[in-house]
Amino acid sequence: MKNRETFRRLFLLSALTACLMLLAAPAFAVEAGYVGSDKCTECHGDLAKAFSTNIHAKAGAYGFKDAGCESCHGPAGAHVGSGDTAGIINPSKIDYEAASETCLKCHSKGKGQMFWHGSIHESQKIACVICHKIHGGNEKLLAKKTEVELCVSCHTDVRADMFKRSKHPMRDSSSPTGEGKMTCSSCHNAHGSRGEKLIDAKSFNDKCYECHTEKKAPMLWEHSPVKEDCLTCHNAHGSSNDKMLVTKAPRLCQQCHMQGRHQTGALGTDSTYTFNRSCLNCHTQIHGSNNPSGAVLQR
Amino acid sequence: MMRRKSSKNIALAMSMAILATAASAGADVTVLGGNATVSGEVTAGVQQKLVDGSNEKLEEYRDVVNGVLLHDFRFKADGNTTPYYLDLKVKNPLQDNEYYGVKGGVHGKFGIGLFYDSIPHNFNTGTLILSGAGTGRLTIADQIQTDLQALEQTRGERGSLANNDTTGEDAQQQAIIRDLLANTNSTTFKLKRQKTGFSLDYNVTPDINTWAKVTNEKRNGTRVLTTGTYERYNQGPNGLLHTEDQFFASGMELAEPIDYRTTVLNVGAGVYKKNWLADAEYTFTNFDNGYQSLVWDNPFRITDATATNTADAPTSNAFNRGRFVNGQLALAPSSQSHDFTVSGSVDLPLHSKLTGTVSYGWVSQDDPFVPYTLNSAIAGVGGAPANITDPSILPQSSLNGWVNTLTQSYVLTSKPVEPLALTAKYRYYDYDNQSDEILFPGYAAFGESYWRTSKNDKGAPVENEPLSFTRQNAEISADYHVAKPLTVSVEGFWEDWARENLRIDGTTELGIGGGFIYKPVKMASLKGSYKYAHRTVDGYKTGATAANPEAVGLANYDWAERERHKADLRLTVVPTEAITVGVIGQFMNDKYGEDNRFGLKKQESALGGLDISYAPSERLSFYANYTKEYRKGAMQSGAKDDTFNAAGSLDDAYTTDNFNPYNYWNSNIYEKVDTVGLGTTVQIIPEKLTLNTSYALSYSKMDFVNYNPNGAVKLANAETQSWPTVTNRLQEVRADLGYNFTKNLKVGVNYLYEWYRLDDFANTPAYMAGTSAENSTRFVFTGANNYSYEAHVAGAYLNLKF
Repeated sequence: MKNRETFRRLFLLSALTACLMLLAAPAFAVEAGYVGSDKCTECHGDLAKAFSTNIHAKAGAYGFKDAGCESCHGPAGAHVGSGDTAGIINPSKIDYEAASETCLKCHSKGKGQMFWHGSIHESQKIACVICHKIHGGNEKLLAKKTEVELCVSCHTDVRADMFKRSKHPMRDSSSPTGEGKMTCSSCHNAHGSRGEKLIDAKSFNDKCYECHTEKKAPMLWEHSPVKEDCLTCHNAHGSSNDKMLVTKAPRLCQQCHMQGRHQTGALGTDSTYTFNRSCLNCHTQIHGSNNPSGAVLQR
Repeated sequence: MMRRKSSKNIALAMSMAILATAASAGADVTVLGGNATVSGEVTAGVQQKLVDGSNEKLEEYRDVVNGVLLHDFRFKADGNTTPYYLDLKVKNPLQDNEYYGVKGGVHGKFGIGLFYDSIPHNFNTGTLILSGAGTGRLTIADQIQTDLQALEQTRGERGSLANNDTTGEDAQQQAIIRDLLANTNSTTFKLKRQKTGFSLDYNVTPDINTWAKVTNEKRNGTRVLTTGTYERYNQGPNGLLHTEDQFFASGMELAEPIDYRTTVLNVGAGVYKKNWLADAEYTFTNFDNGYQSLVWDNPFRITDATATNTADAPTSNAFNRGRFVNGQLALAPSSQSHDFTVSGSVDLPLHSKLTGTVSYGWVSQDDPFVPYTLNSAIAGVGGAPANITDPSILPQSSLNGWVNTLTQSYVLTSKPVEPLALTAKYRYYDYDNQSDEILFPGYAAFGESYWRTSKNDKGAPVENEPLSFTRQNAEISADYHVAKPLTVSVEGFWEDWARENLRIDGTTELGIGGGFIYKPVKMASLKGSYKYAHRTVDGYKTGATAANPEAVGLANYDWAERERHKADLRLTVVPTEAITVGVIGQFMNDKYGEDNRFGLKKQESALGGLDISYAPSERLSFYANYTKEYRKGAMQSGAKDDTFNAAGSLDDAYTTDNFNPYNYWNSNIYEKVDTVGLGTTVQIIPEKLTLNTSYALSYSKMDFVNYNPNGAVKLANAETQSWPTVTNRLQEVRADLGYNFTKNLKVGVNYLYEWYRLDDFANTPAYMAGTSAENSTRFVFTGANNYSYEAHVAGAYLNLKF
């Protein structure tokens, strides 16, 4: 009998609690709304102070007048009420698409991200926050110390290329003894581009010509790969061969040229056609010649 | 010079340090009554290097100097109540790799930037027996030319063997050259890029932006450039006519003067709305080469002469080539290019977006031609014009070079339903070369010693063929979110090249592929893809013709039929917040036309990599990575004969031309590269004393397997020889021990050790006479081929943040 009474009281208490919770729900819903950045500063003072020099703190100047903590983290009401981290969005811990969508709300309005949609990084589901650390990252808010270090953390083949015999000056820009005069973004736009392989130019060659302009103009006598595709002969990330060549000369040249006898020799290592600049010992104007007597790219 | 540079560095370092100290009551200092925050840092120190070997390779793209140095200086000011900002950055001042940049403006309104960047490119040091490196005229004393010409051993004197020194004059010429090389100061071949730029961004409204950029880059210096020729003695030491060809090679390695200036102007404007974006820009590039040509003295000639026949009579071009007094090379012509680009993007229904860009441009060059040759002896010989050294007799004084380019690129993305994402891409690139086609009566060939009236052995007229092409490609792909952890994708792609004035009309490639992204748990992802493509060829011109003088059955690998398989697999696991493990695998296999007789037949590459990072505590972290690469290229070629020798019983479709299957030779190149990286960061005293160390190793090994597939050869020139392994090894150790006196003041010591070894049989000394297969008595290089080094660089530094 006593047990039944206890059970009845517990049931009534539970029902009452449930009713109270239902009645209180709207009130909680209001709490779960936007609270404004000042509220965040009350607890996250250090973070807010550090963020004051962050470019995102200047978002208002760029036309995003109401931008604040909740622009990226969503409404903080629930978090404020409970302190529970589950009550607020952390873009680095949510689905890539949702995280990137947050960034793209503002960052789709620019030239640099125009080709983001459909780019290889988008299709590989690389969220913005994988590469960028919005709170206090390095230059460009990158998640690693340098841009190259960030890119090669996935592109390990390129990291290996940078240590090879011939390469572009990309290695270690963080040190006084580093060579890092170029970065990945010297050629690629990680946010998408009109060219292939995220090349930030009309074509591979047009990107190369930006620094190697002397090879851009039409010549009297042309070598077709120079105009069609520099990558036919060169590996732009680095090579175990001289001059970033994809294959060691004379074999590289012999793969396409079999006209005269001297081109077709199997050749030993003591041959003038093999050592030093190999075929280029004579065909020095391999990128084209503007000399009326340069038909075979010798002068 | 070095001391003066160091003194400047000391003064600069001190002034920057004082400036920084004065501003450094603490980090992120608020100034101007709280209206602005300034911050920055300065790093200065001393450095000493010790190099054994090639300093040029160590400093290929950097300047590692001794003395007191300012490494970095950064100063930033940001308005707290106003949107003004200023950012000043200095790196390696007063060094060859110095950088200075300043940006400033009003956030969201305008920004101005100015920079100066210097990039050294050090090649190597060698010996140039000519004077005037870095100019367009390289000279040698007349007496040397006189002495060497007097010792010329002609074909008539030499007899039928290239290596016969019947008069002893080869030996005497060699002695003179060796003496010259021994007594000539070395020359360092290097260049420097110095780029200055100015940029301005102005936002008319938050949605309307305009910009203008101007850069000007100077490139100055020298690099090696070789010029040469050969003559063929169709008899070997055993008296066998032709089957044991010997060659006499002659030439000169020179210093090409680099004096380039590239100016680029880019202006544009864009409207960037929420649902659509559009912009237009114009780019002008002016390239100016200060040297149109390089003229050099031939050390072996004081008077011009022509090539001759076996009896030394100037009625043929076969022997005694390279008899000019002054050689002349045309260098890269100055040019101008213009590009207009319009880009846009618009949101469409069904979560779709269309983005496109169209660019039209042209590049032109009209540099005056140099004359056919400076060798006056050719005049009137073999049909050559009488006044051959006069450029006014050329059919045209310049190329009137002009290329129009049109580029289009479109991307359409759509997510019509939640789990499905569709992407379609199309690209178009038209390279339309409108340069003049010029028919020349002939040209100075064979070491500028004879007039040749056909471009190749098959009698093609001496006429340039401005090449044009149109490249189009398209991709279509669908990503389907099968379930929460799994996305699969399929794709199809197409590429088409149409070419003009080349020995091929075009190629078409079709491919399909698929991939997946599997993310079963938050801390692990596996991505994989596979692609297959087949390229077919249209209108490859038959070999051994004027239109295609190469061997019958040879297909250039960039134009050949190709079957490609490509796969990629990537696993990332983050089992705890402290550990990240990445595994990567890549594979590619290209097979080139089964029916192609010669050329590259197969290319394979595979790569495997492992990356681990582990941070057990805030005080300690490690990383380790390893990459293994493997490449194999297999080619087939054949030595050319005068006439076809009977094939015997060989099963080969080609039994009539100059390439006897018995003279086929194959070359397989195997490349293996191991790359290792290790590093650790240890806070020996938490937040005070930190040690950073890293080690990197790159070891590449290239093996050559040369063999004759059909057994005994009929030509000595076809007989394969073994080539030694080419190795390339780099080891790098870095260590940095830093002590933080305060949050903003750090002092430290650092050390860099680099060890680089290149073993390449191609890197020879300057003079190979007597040791080369050919008679190279008259071929003089610079010997700028030493790349190995061992270097220690130690330094101490002070880093101050403010």
